[in-house]
Amino acid sequence: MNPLLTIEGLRVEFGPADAPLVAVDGAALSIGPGEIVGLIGESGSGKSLTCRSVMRLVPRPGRVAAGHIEFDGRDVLAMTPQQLRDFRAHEAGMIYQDPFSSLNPVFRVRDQLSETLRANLGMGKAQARTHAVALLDGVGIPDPERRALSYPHELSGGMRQRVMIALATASQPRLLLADEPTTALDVTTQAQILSLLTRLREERGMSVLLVSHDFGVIAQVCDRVAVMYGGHVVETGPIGALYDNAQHPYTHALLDSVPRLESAGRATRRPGIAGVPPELNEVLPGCVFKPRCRYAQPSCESVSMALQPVAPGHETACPVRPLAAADGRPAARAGAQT
Amino acid sequence: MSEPAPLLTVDGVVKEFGLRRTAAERVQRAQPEAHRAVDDVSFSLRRGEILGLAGGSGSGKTTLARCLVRLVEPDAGTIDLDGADVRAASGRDLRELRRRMQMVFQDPYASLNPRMTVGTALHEAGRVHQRPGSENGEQFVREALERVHLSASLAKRRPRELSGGQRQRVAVARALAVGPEVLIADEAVSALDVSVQAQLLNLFLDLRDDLGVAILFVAHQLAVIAEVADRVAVMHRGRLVEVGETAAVFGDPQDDYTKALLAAHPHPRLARVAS
Repeated sequence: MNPLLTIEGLRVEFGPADAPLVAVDGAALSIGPGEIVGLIGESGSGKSLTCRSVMRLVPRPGRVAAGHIEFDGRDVLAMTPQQLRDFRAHEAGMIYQDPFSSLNPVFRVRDQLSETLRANLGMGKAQARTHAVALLDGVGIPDPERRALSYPHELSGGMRQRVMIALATASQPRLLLADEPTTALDVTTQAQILSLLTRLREERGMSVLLVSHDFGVIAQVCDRVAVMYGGHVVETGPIGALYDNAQHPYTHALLDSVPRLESAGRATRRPGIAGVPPELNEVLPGCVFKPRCRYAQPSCESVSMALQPVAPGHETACPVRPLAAADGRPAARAGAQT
Repeated sequence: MSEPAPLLTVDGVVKEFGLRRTAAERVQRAQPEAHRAVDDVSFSLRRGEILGLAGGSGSGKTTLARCLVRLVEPDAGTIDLDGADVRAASGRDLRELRRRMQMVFQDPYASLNPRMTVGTALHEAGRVHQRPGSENGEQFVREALERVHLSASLAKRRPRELSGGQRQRVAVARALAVGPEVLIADEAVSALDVSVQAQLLNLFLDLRDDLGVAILFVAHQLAVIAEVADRVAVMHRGRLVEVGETAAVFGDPQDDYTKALLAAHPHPRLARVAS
């Protein structure tokens, strides 16, 4: 099956061209039709920029300096403004962390939806209004006729995010880019939004790129996941493989840092990850994770960050692979240290 | 385990916020019903214990936390810190009570003065409360930083030169610099990345074990509370719906809201949501 979206060697830079600050360096990712792919990383890892690059929405003065983004056989980075407009209108939709700042506060929800429908799908006024209500119904908003007349401030955070999803998926795009869509929401609302995304995937075969810093969110809905650190994708693979058989020391350490409900009643001390992520102006030779890696070796300064296969569909950027067990069985994860 | 006397006892605390009248209410000259942000809340905090306060957004966790140090004035109820009546205190007495109950907020960038170096900020807290040792600024600051496992060389930096985790440690160091008995951490780790969050949680456990500080740990993430809290209180619409040992509450929740919160918690294991 051909992937719907392929990102190769993506490089996003800020600052002067002769001494650029590299925020994303050689990121690679692919999403198949109907697949939900998670992009996880800590703040500053470049996950949002990678997501925005797909829509060509990297905020200025940032720029995509190198790389290739292919959507269904077409080169996104080479699109003309007209093609880009079509692409954004019909092929890909995007939702953000804060739905309130993405909605126009002075227009009713219905009018914002029908504006999109009229502009992108060429609907008439009456038809667009009826369809807007149907869209709200489709994302699980109760009493959609009444809610359609609300202004954004009259809706709760979860409702606003549903409206955003309705807007982004109004023209039945094949790809939805979701940049931390549930970070600002309560856990109960978060669960509802995540199940809505899963439902849209099942009903329409829509692909989703879900950016998040929360492993719990990723685990609930994603088929595959890519882990980013310091602008690089350091590991990618099926969600189960990453959990049980993380090969990159960063993925492993990150998973071990995640607080768990099972710790209830037993005060738990997790090691976390010592040190701080690299600054944009720090150019590290070899592996970017080396300064914080507990398995670092001198040779790590000269390795490439290219992904290497571990198992079918599972790739890691760590050539040392200290976590691979000698007998070929997955290395046991160090449990919570009490 | 013998039952130690509670350090902080909260009984029947209520906080109401008046709402603006809607157009209809203005026409009818009716008063809208006040919103009860904190509704008859009672609990106690023991010495050297971490009590987690969980709940969704808008459940009143923060208002309750602020009521305890009277950053928000409660409307009813009693707050008793080791025999001292917090609600009746004023002036010098209130200042002393606030020294004994310190708060740490979610966003350390907003709670630290951007123009003060870390050292100045820490020293100021000690001087204001005339802490022993605060005459010797340099040593006072060094000890305060060491308590939160930060290098003394950070004293000359300003908040913007620190990482998020370091900043939050400085905020904790400043709270500890005045020798509090109770620390109220209001979403103190919520804005941090998990790798940094883990280190901050360890710090809170160290503070409880080494200094014997009692901590009211407000957080919306249940797993974070599970990692550190001895007991947990769950808040919903201003009321405490469940209080108990963390293992008991999370293992066998009795209240429907607690059950719903636990069920919605994103599980890092492969628990798929139903579509």
